[in-house]
Amino acid sequence: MTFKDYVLRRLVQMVPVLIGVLIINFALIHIAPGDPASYLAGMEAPVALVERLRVEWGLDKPLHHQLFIYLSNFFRGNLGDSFRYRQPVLKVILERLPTTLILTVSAFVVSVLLGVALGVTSSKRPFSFFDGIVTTFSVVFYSIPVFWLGIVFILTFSLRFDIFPVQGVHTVGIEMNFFDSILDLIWHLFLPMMTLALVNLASYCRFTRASMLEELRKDYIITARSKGLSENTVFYTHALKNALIPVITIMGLRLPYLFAGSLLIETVFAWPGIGRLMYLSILSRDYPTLMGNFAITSLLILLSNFITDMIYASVDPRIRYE
Amino acid sequence: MNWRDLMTKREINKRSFSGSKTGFMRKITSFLEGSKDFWVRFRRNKFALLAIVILCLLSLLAIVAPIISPYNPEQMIFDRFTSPSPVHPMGTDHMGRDMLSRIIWGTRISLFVGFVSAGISITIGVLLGSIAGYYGGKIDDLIMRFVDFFLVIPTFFLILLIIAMFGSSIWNIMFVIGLTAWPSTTRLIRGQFLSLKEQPFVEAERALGASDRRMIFRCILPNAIHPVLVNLSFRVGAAIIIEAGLSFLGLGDPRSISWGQMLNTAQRFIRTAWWMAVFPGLFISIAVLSFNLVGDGLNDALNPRLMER
Repeated sequence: MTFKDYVLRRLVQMVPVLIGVLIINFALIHIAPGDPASYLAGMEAPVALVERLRVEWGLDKPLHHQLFIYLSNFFRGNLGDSFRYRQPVLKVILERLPTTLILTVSAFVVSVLLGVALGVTSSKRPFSFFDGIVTTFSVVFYSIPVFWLGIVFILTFSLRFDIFPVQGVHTVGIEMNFFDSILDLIWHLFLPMMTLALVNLASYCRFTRASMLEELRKDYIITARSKGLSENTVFYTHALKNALIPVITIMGLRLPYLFAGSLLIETVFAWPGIGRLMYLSILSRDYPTLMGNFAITSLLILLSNFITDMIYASVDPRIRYE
Repeated sequence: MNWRDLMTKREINKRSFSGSKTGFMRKITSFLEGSKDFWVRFRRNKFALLAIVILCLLSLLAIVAPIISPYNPEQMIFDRFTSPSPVHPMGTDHMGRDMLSRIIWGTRISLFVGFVSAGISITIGVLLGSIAGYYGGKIDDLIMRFVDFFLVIPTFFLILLIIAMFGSSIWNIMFVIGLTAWPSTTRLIRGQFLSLKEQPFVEAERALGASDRRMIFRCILPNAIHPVLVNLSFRVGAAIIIEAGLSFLGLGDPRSISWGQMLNTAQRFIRTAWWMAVFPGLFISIAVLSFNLVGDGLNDALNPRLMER
């Protein structure tokens, strides 16, 4: 199988998962108590709107036909209309997506870099004092609810010491040039990003450490040592290279947690992304937005997984010939 | 089959339930006897032992909450926003209720949700994992498709959606958490079955003409009991965190006193009453941390190789 075939195969494999997510949405509308139309139009919707949606989503037709309409509407970009914003759901979500991506991508990068670095360093002398501290902290941060960590950070760094802003993405009411507004963004981003990164880096750290220790026990390490290579070469060039391969898999598996964490953190820090949109939609029971958010987040995770797999395949050539 | 295989069969059988036939207690003692090394290794882990003690204390707190809590958790007779003092060690909230009493009562919901949802997901996970691993073939493919699906999608978003649509009663919450958390258990149990299936003692059992049900539940599954225990511990911790997250987003059961809901209200008063936010979260963290430490301890005791220096 060539690399191109592999890419194509992975792309095709994403389709059934996405359809599965849409089927869940569709099934929920029909299983949940009440009229399906009320989940699309809202409880206090005017009769005319309910009738219009009934036709648009084919609610008077047999179920399999309705499912087909639902799927084809989704793939044409029609996810329904938000009750709360009186706008198409896709538009509402896409407007807020960049703000979320700033937070999740930066937290992801920081957590992977820091987590892998800490894991590698602590695997160098396992059961040493440093290793003990790193291992303890990683299990602690792994267990702390991300939203509470955010609240504690706000209490200490924003309210007590006044170093960082409490909420939001930018300072309101001040004219700034481009450079200053970037700095302002980073200043606002720092606390939510660190909270999200700290909770996520723990698993990368633990996993990297375990993977390194596993790798260091293998025969080729003994060979490398007996060849007379320096300990650093054995450690960083031979062991680390192989130990990082499974870590890439974990990156893919952690993505749902990253987005769930982002949802909670956006709520704590009033970060106006799709997570906060999800929270506001819960408050106003805006079902089309909730369902759209679920579908779009699934799509995002699928795409990120696809990217991870591509990295994996280019790092580890064995994967393509399976 | 040569004598070496017979030896392993006997040794492995000693470690499983299937050796003893009479009485529940015999089973328990033979289980503990069979996994003696396991518990000896587990006891060496001081953190895990401490975590067990904390969990016992929390469970006790949950059971005797009505006796031990200093005030009625719903009583609104005190001054609002009293900071922590000897009378109210954790202060009072925005309605003048004693925070300490509320936190003690909150232990009940958290542990209850944790254990019930973990029980549901472990049951489903063990059943599906056993079927997939034991039978293999098409049914295995089908089950693993579902597993992969649930591992990829953002289940927390799905849980939020379902609770928003079906209502946030405590039972809905427990069922939804349980019904979305089984895939990792299924994968684990399937892996165990795949490796145990090839063992000589399993072949011997099959040669004796055991039914599929007996093969799965009497012969193979008891040998996978330790990984299940590890998984159970992590699952309870995860369920507590998810419930707290749901309550924090305003989707908790409005009739119950839960730590997550306390954090939800605390957020509105974050500038006036830090104690309302700090203590409930501290308890969530301690509970989840303890379950994770116990899980880690069990896991290390299971794979002694990882503890080598």
